[in-house]
Amino acid sequence: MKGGDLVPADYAEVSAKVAMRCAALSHAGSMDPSHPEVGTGASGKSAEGEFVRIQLRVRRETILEARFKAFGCSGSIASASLASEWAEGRTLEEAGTIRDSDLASALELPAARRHCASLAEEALQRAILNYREKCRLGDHLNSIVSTGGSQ
Amino acid sequence: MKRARIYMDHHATTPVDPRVLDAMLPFFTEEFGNAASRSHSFGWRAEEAVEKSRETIAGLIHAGPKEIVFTSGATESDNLAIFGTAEFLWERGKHLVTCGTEHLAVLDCCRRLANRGFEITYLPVDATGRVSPDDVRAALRPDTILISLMVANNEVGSLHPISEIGKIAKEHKVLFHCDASQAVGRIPVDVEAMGVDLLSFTAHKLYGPKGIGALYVRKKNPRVRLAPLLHGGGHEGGLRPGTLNVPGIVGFGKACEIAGDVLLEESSRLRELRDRLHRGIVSELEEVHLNGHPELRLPNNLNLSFSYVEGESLMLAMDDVAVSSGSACTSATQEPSHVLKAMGVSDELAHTSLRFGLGRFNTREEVDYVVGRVVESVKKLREISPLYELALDERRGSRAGGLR
Ligand SMILES: Cc1ncc(COP(=O)(O)O)c(C=O)c1O
Repeated sequence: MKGGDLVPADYAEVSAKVAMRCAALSHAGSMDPSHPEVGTGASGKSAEGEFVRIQLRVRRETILEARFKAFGCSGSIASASLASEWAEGRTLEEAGTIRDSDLASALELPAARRHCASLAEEALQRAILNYREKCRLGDHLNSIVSTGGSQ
Repeated sequence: MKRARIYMDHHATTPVDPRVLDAMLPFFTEEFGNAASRSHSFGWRAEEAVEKSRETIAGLIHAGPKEIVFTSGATESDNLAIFGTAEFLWERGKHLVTCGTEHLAVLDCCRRLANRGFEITYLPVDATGRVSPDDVRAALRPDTILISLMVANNEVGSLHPISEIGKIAKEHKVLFHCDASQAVGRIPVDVEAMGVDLLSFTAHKLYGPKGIGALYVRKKNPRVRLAPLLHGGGHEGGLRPGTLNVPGIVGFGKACEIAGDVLLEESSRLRELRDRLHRGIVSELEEVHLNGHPELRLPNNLNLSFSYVEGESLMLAMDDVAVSSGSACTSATQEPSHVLKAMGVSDELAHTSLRFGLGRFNTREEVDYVVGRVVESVKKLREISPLYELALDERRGSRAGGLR
């Protein structure tokens, strides 16, 4: 049930941490998704007001660079920014352990905005998966090239 | 450095005009009497002030003073109009007609009645947020007891063709209730010309205090009868018992007096400022969409969708400017504004909407400042929007395709 004018009854205030992150927008950006070192993951639906994308540039299992773009409320933007910051410099395996609950508590997200952190976690997981699939496909192609090679 | 805050959310509420406050203050101190105390001058003075205000308030909507019932605000007025009619007329019929873009103060009453065996027809609106009189006529049935439609919408400002609907209601002898919370004090409201039988309005939308409102209840042609919501005394013709909020009523009266004096001049000034705001924004940003009717809407309302940028994040980016958004991040499901949805605005675009509501104390400098803040913030957020990037890629792709 919604409250008064345009503001829903369960509207939750934005924490100072979220506001600071939305002002700084650190780790915002994009990378060429077709680059072999780049994994891309997305989550959310624009019709539901939230769509988050996270991209990772990886070399030897280490995330050299993480970038996000987000369409969504401040909580979604802040979560994607923080997830990218945490992922950068970690191994894929380490980054895979980043949880929405950790993002939410670091950002002091109220319960009603937990889903913002879940979107960021999901986008990150999917970016990792996308990179791994790319590698598998790449290895596969390489093996075709080296065994049945035309050279 | 702390920047000054700019208030552009006058559909939510308005500041109390200093003249209104001055008029109210004595009624908290030396003139504190109960308007129902008939035995001494404290009571008489309070009653006199109440009756004088009642006359001014009635005058603003071209009603008689005996047709004004004081309530705690438009929410209560809507409840009294709808439940009061339903309880009085249920033996005659159990069908009501309203519209999907109404305020929740009307929609929630209708929902409650539906649970109690009433039938509600929710009229559709066109893309500009207006109902068609033909749809109203077609919805009427022998058992219809009430039509409830707002004069002006609180999100997009669109104005329904109230006078035409008033005529239809008269022809069919169906009572016509209007929530005029957003209209009174902003555009001329005339209950006779509009053919309205019940009209809700509230002081805090016209530079009066919060917690005081009124329901206009027609006394003749026809004489409207209602069942009260509250019981406990004969105040307000038995329709609304309880000691009157004298300072609130005095403030409401003063606010209506000022509104009557300045309405035409103020509405044209605000329309100019509003159009300046609109022009300033669209001259620097593409893909900005107007929600609401281009002309037939409140002069102070501007509701815009900024493609690719979610409304709440945009509000935060320009946090020294107070506006509202049709997108609000709440629990797991994000439902955008029911008004924009009813108008056929896509969910994605509804999530990008901002509502600007200009008011008496806004200046041209403030408008120009807000234009700058909006443009800068939308650009910044589009830079980080994956939807904007996709749209640009598609545009480049199709351009390249076209060249081939
Ligand atoms: C159209 C409409 N109806 C009713 C209300 C509620 O008015 P009040 O706050 O006086 O109960 C509002 C204000 O939000 C409104 O805009």
